[in-house]
Amino acid sequence: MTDLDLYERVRQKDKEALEILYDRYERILYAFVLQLTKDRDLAEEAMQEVFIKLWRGGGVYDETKGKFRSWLFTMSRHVAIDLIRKRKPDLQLDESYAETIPSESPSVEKEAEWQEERAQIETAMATLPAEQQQVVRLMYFQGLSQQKIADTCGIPLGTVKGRVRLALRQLKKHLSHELIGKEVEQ
Amino acid sequence: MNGCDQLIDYFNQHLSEEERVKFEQHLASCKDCQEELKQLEALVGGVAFLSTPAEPPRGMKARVLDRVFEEDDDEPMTAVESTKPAPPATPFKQKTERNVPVWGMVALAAALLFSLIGNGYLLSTQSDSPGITLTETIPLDGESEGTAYLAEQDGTTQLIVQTNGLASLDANEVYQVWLLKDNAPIPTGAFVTDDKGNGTVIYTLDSSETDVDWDTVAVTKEPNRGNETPQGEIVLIASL
Repeated sequence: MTDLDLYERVRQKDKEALEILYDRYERILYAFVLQLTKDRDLAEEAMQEVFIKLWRGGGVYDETKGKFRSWLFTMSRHVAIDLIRKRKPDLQLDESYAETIPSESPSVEKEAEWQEERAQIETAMATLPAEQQQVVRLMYFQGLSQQKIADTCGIPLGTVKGRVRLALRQLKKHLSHELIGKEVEQ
Repeated sequence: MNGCDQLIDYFNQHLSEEERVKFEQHLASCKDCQEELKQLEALVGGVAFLSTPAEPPRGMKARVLDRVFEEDDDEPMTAVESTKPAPPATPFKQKTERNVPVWGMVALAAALLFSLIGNGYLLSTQSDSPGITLTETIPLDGESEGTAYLAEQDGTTQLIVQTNGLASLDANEVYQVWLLKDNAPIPTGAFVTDDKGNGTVIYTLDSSETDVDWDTVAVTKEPNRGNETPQGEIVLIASL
């Protein structure tokens, strides 16, 4: 059953479909919003918010938007950033992105999930020069303003967008349709 | 910074409400920004997998799903309809027989005499546009949250439409606002939405338009920009 099938069923108020979607995305979505919020309570709150939105139809997906998964992650990212701004306005998103997350050793078996996707994006990232990798992380995981990205990277404000664009173009070459959707494949 | 320079700050939610509204107006007409935003969003589907693996808290699934379904019981959804396109021949026929809130059938011209109604829009615009006076607030009925406002500024009438939760758009699609009298529409501004379905459009009526007793305001999803008559389905509507 595809994500889209499930989403359509969710729109028809099919609880089972929402549960299947939840099971499918729980781990990766939780990891993603935790990466953004760096707070387990806030991450769970974000999960809550995301699935309420899915169920109640706040934020509507349709196929023309591209990949369901990209839409889901984008929506979740917005939810997480909103929550951080509301609940922890003092939290600087520009803290070191990975090290601050409390680690629990994930079970090996479960981590087989999404292995292919992880490998793909990691391989793609590895092809980027260090400064482009940095800009991708600052953009997506730390949600910095353009000014802060410029300051952190030590580049002029006007250069940030160009660097982001270069990085995205390079990443796209290495990511499958399956991962990011057809719409970015030019 | 302005225009295209604000795309990253828009994407990362760093713009003030006022800046966001302005940027969305820019976005509505800037193909480059639309394309870049789409790319930024699409790549979220890839970079998310760079997240450090984390074990979900015990019992989270039950907590989340219980709350989701409980919300639903507490607060029934405002009818989400199927998104079948309306028959092209009768684009302004309503899709269902639901009651559209009728706001006293107040004509636009008469509405301008109404006293000031305070709200978020007014507060946010008052600081930099001291001459603006909000004359009417009209909740829109349909597939998402939306509000139309009538405002007066320097002797001109403005129609402002703000939405939240509209369905996302395809590359060339836009949401188009219309004013109607006796089922005859005129286009009054188009907009695109962010990924939450938030969108805003501000349209200034010219003097001949101000004199018409408009009876309806509607938003349609159009396959492209610049249509003089609606081709898409109605997503939001209210009587004036």
